[in-house]
Amino acid sequence: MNLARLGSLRAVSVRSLIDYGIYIAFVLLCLALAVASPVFATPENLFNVALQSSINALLAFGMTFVILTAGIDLSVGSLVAVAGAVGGGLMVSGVAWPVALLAGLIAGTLLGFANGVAVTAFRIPPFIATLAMLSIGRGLTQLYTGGRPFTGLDPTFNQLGQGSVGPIPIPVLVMLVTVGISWLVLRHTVFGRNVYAVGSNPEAARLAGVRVTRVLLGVYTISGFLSALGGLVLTARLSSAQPTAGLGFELDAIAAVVVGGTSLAGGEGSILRTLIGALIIGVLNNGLNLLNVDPFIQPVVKGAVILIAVGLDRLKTRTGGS
Amino acid sequence: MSLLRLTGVTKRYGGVPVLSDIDLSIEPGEVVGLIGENGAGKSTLIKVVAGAVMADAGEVRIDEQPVTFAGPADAIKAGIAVIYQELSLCPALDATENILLGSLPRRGPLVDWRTARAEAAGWLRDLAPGIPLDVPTKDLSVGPRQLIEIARALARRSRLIFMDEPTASLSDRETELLLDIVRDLRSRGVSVVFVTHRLEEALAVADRLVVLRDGRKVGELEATTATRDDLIRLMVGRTLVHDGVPPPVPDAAEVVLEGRDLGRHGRFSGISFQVRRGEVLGLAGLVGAGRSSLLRAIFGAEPIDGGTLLLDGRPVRVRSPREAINLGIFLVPEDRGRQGLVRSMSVAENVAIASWPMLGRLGFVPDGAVERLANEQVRERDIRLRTIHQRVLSLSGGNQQKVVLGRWLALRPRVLLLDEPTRGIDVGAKAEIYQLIRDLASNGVAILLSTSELPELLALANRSIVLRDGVAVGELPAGASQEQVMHLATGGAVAPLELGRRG
Repeated sequence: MNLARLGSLRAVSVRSLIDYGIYIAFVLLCLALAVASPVFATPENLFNVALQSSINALLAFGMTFVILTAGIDLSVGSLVAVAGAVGGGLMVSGVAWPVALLAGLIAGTLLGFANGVAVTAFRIPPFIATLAMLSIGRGLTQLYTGGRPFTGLDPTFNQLGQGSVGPIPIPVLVMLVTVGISWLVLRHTVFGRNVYAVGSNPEAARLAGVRVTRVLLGVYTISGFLSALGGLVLTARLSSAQPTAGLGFELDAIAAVVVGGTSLAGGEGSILRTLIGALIIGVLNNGLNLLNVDPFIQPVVKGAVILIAVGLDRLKTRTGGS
Repeated sequence: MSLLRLTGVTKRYGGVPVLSDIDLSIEPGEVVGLIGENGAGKSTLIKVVAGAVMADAGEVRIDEQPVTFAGPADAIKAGIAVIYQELSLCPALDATENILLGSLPRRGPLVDWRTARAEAAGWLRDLAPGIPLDVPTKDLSVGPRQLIEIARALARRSRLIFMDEPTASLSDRETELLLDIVRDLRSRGVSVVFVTHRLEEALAVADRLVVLRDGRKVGELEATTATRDDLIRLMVGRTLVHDGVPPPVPDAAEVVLEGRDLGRHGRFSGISFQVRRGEVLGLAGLVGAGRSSLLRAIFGAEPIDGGTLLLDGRPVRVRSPREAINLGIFLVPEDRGRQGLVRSMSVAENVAIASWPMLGRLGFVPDGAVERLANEQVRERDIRLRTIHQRVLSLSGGNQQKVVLGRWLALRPRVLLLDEPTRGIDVGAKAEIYQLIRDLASNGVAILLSTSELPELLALANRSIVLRDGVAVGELPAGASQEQVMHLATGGAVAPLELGRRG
């Protein structure tokens, strides 16, 4: 019975070409910059790009979990600030750095969990729930810090942002370990597969016995945790916890996810794509600087890249559609 | 011992009985065809057995033990699976995950993909070995997706599978394969209840046929002795309430709207028709035959990819509803609540919405003009309400429909496209809308009327085209019988359009 072959395979081959488009685009972008600027392809600069992308990548990984369920998390930038402030504040008041680090992580994770509760128990649309948390998180940070940065942090802690293992900066290592674990979770655990199922068809998932509420709680909690991790890495890099840290970070994180090709409608996408998306944004920033492009034009270029990436994605949907 | 036994099952929606006192039993390894017109209660019956709705009265027994299903999960546990018309797969996931959704095997914290693939492949093997296990199901066509649902039902150890019009969107070849699979399930001792409009299929695959009409079981026949005509007579049943007949259209009346060989990929093809001034042209056919799609395409709400549309003998291209409205072509859509009305707005705004460009001055719409327009329509259509400023959804179904009609009548239609204009409307309002349609026709409006209710078609249409699988299979004059329409709509030897193909 060749039922399955009918009308399926041709579409698949066209799709897979477009599917890998993002990776091809990334390679082409790097090649073009390597030709245009002698500095770009040097190892120092490449590590620099990875370092500059790492914090956005961490937030974008969490965002990927959320967006795969057709949600959104606007609070990630504020949770960066919360985690940094909690960690930094405790260190300044004399708490040992590992404890402070842990406390910062817990703070972000709890607020992420609170996002999940708002979305599931109170059925508040994710956009609104996390918009509220964006405001609450920022406000709590300002209250706790009194609007002043915490400086004079433990030098060992600062290694988290400034140190390196061999040639590889620690933030890049953190990013790589996180992408590995995230990939494993999304691809190979029941929780991860349920994330896709819920995003793809929540009703079918529910009828099949998937506990949709738990899955949603999980993704917002993960996003909170990774935001906090990003916040602590940022604090360590700056050797200080800034109350305004992470302002607007949610936009870059969403951009990385979307440029990577993860669908805002949920159910489709991957963590590796998000990594590429974050790197594309990093490479673009770096390349535009190397080429001495007017800094006022840079955001315009970034916006155009987002439009093109999402436009291509829509094209893909249409090819696959009817 | 019966696998499933229903006794006296009754279900009402808002006081209207949709199932009355249904008795039905299904034996292990039996295939039962469940047939009936649209609205006969087939889908509700399935929902009761699937635990999706609760019966108001009556008893459901499984293995002769009374059961109460609190939800679909209970029915699944009892071994009952339903394959709905709207397939319930996760489109982004592949066959393996869809088949094992909710029960993926694991080793430690991780999914055991090897076991999962082997298990899924095992369930699919006997059904259709060709289906790729690792392609997102949205890239497969409807046939394979349906088989994946059947495999899921088997993976859950289902003993009774309900299939709600499984062949509605399948090609002839795919249908044949599906019927073979149903026979195969029977040989494995699985019972199947097969809902279909296509009588040949029911006769070909079922052991026993159950006919529903108006929520009652009106017949139970052995497939070996039943005939098509028996089934149609049972389905149509009642002596017809002809709400009068349509007044004749003078032969000299000029053609207002003409379609030549209209087509839309995957929906309908080769449709030609003419509607004259003052004529009501009926569109008959089963749900999914392409009627709504045709009307929406004429209105510019869906693209037309073939053929020519002529208005007053001149070819026109309608690329959007706005263009259709500018030409005087208006659509009263099928789903009043979602497509016809802006739910959050008032009656006045809903009446005036299409007239805004005409009422507006420099982009501002004066309230006074809106109110005048709305009041005029409320008076002329006899819309019963407290105030034109009340929310449109607070009106009854019939009055809501008059609001939609009033919106267009304020603009002096040349062509009116009516899609199920009396669905969900009580008898009194229905009669008023019938009268309104006749009045409009006698005032020279050309009307295309799509309806699933045969008495309505026969009462209003001067002529009717019957669609089946997106193709016009016949034209009937006024005074045709319900049986004639049903024969064409469910009928046999017509080249089918391959529907639901992807890619």
